[in-house]
Amino acid sequence: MTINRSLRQFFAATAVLVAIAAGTRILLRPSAPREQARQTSAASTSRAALDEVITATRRRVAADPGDGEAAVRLADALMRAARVQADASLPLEAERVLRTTLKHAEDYTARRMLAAVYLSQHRFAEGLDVARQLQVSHPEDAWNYAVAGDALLELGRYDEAFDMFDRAVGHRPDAGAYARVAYAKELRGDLAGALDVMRMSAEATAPQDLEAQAWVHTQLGLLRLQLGGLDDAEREFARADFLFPHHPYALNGRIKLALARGRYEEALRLNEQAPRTPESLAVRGDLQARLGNRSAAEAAYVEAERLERDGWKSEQPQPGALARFLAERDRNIPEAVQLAERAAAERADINTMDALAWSYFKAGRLKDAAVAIERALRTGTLDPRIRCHAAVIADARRTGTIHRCDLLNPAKA
Amino acid sequence: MPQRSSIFGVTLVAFALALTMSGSASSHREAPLISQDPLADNTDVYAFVSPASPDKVTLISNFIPLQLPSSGPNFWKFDDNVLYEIMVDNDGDAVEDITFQFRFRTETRNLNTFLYNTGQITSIDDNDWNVRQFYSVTRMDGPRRQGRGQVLAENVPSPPVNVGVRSIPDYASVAAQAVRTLPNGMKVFAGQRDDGFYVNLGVFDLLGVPPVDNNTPDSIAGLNVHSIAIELPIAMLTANGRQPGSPSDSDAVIGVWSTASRPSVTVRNGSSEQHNNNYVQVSRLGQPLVNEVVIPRRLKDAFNSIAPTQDSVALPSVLDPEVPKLLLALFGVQSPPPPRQDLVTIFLTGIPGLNQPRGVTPSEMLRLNVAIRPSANPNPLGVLGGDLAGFPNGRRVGDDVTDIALRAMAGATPLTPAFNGGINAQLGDGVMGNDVPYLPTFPYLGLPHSGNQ
Repeated sequence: MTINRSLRQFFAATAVLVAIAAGTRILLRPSAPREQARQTSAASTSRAALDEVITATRRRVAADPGDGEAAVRLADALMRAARVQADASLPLEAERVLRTTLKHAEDYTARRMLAAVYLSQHRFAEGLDVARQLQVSHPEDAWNYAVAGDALLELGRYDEAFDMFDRAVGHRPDAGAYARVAYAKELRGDLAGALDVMRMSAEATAPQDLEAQAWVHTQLGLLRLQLGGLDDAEREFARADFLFPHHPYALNGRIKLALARGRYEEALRLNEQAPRTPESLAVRGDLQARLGNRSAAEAAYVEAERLERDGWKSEQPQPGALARFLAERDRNIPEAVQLAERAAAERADINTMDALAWSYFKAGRLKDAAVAIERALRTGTLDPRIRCHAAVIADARRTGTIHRCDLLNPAKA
Repeated sequence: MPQRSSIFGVTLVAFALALTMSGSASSHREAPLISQDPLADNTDVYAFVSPASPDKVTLISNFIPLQLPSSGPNFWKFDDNVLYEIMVDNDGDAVEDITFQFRFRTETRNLNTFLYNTGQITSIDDNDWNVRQFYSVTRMDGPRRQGRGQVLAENVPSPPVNVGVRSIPDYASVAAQAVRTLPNGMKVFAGQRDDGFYVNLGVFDLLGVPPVDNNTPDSIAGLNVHSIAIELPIAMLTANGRQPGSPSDSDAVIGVWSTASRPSVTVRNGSSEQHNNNYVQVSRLGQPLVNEVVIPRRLKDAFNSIAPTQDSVALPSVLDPEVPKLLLALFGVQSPPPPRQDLVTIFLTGIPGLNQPRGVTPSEMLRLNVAIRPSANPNPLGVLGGDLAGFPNGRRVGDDVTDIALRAMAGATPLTPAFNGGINAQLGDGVMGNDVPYLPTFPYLGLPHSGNQ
C-alpha cells in the first residue's frame, strides 16, 4: 500500500464513520448538511421548493424505483402539492411510487407513508389495517397511532380514535400530535381547549415548513371564527396567506370569514379564486342563490354534482357528502336518502350521521331523522351546521313547524 | 457529532384532499403527521471550566440544527412550549442533582405585521424589533420533576436572529447585550449562534479525497443553531458546595447532559393544557458520540426518551459497536475486539483518575473534572493530545470530537495500547477548525452567520 493509497483509506474510513455518526440525516455529498438545510429546514415547503423536490425525487425514483427515501420524499411532496393544487392525480402517483418501492424491498417508512396516502383517498379501512400492523412491528412510532386515530375518527369510532391520539401524543408530542388532539377536542365541543392545543401545534411547527405553517394558522383561524373572534381569525388567515401565498385553505378561511360578516359579494369574489372543486362550487352556488342569481347558482350546483360523481371514478366514493349536498339544497331527496343510508352502512362519523338525518328530515321521516341526528351530536360537537339541523328537526317534531338552516351561515340560523 | 433531525430529514405530512365535498369535514386528516421537530432537537452539549473565569464552569446546549441564516421571513426561534434543560449529576449515580431549566415566551409587539422587524435593530430593546423572545432560568435541586425550584432569572431577552446587516448593522453589539449577569457571578445567554461543531464529509467521495494537508472544508460551515448557556461558579455545582482543591478530590467530577421535553396533552382533559406539568422527553444528548455513533438506529428514539439510569440499554451497543466492524470490512483497519471495555470507560463511566466519579453508575453523559484548570494552549484533540482540559474530559467548543471519536472507536487511546498507533491514531476528517472564530468569553460560541451574506 502506498502512502497515498493508505491516506486515501484513512480519509475514506473517516468519512464512513462521520457519515455513520451523522446517521441518515446527512447525505453523502460534500455540502450535504447545507443541502439538507435547504431541503428540509429552510423554505422546504414553499410552492417553488415543493416543485423542486418533486422534480428531483421523481428523477431519483425513476433511476432507482427501490429508493425508499426518495419515494417517501416524493410521496410527501406530492401530497402537499395535491393540497395546494387540488390535483387528484398526485396522491394516486404517490401511492403508485410507494407501491413500486415496496415491490423492490420492504421499507418501513414507505409502508407507513402508504397508510397515510390511503387515508387521503378516503380508504380508511385499508389505512387502519396498515397502521395496526405497523403498530405491532414498530410500537414505538407515534406515526402509526396518529394514522390509526385518523382512520378511526373517519369511521366514527371516536373513543378508539381519541385513545389513539392520546397514545400518539404520549409517545411523541409534536406539531402533528397536538393538531390531532386539538381536532378531537373540537369534536367534543371544547373549542377553547382545541384552540389552546392548536396554538401548541403552531408553536411546534418548524418555521421553515411554510406549507404546514399555513395549514396550522388556517386551523387557528377557523377555531377563532367558531369562537366569535372574527378579527383574530382574519389575522390568522392573513398570516397563512403571508407565509404561503394563495394557499387554498387560507382562502377557504377567508371565505368563511366573509360569510360570517355577511359580506356575500366578497365571499363570492374569493370563492371564484379558489380551486374548482365540488365543495367550492357548491358554496358558489349558495352564494349566487343568496345574491339572487338563480341560473348561475343552478349551473354551479350542476357542475359541483358532476365533478363529485366524476371524482368517484378515481377516488373512493363519498356518498354521505353527496347526500348532504342534495338534501341541503332540496335536490333529488330520494337519492339523498339512498346515498346517506349507503354511507351510514360503511361509517358512523358525525358528518355521515348528519347527512343521514338531514336526508330523512327532507324526506319527511322525522323519527328516523331524530335518531340519526342524535348520533351526529354524540361527541358533543358544536358544529353549527349539525347544531342547526338538530334544532330544526327537534322543532319540527315538537311543533310541526319547518324551519330552514342558512346554508352559508348556519350559526346565524 | 450532533443530532440533526429525524428520519430522512423530511417533513412527513399526510394530507387529505379537498377534492370532494367531504374535504372540509375531513380537514383534520390534513394535520401534519410525525414531522421533524427541529425546535426540540438537541445538537451538541458542551461543559468546560471557563477559560476566562477558571473558577467557573460553562454549560451550553445547542438546538435547532442546520439553520440557514437566510431563513426569513419566518425566522427560527425557541419553542415556547418546549422545556429546555441542562442536567448535572454531581455524585455519579446517574440521577440529576441540579437542573437548569430554560422556558421561553414569545412577544409580538405589532400584531398588524408579520415582519420580524420593521426597521433597524440597534439595541436589545429596539422598538423596531417585532418578534422577540424572553426566557426564564430555573434551578432545580434534586430530581427535576419533583425537586426544589429556584428562579434564577426571569424575562431575560434573547438576542434577535442575525437577519442581516441592513436590519442589524452591529449584530455583535446587540447580541452582547443579551448576555445577562446574575447574582453570584452567574451569566446566562439564550439565542442564535454559529454551529461550532465542525466536520468534513467530502472525504466520503472516493474520487475526491481531501488533500493530505489536513485543510479540508467544514461541511456545516455557514449554518446556525440556537444555544442555551449558563456560566456559574464551580462551587455551585459540586456535591459538597465547594470548589475542589485538586483533580483527585472526590467531588471534582460532574456529569452533564441536556434534554428537550414537550408537554403532553390528552383529548379528554378539559383543563388548560399548556400549564400541565406532564412533560415527555423527546431529545437527549450528552457525549457527542453515543446516541449518534453507538446506538443503533432502531433504538435512537427510545434512547432520546430515557434517563441515564436506564442506559443499560446502550451497553451491548457500546461493548460491540458497529463502527469498528465497518472499519475492518471496508478498509482493513483493525480495532480492539469486543467486548470493548475501553469504550464503556470512555462513554459510560469516565476515565479513572481523570473524570470517573467515585462509585459511578455507568451512564451516558459528559463527565468533567472541574478541578482541572483550563489549558493556556488548548489542543483540539483534548486528552488524546495531552490536554486534560479537553474532551472527553467535558467538551470545549473547539474540541475536535470527530477525530477524537474516530480514534477512540479504533482503539487509539492509552486504554488499548496495542492499537494506539499507526493508522488508528491518524484517523480524522481533515477539518482543522470551525469556520467562525469562537469568542474568548461567555458564551464562547461564535456569532451567528448573517442572513444576507
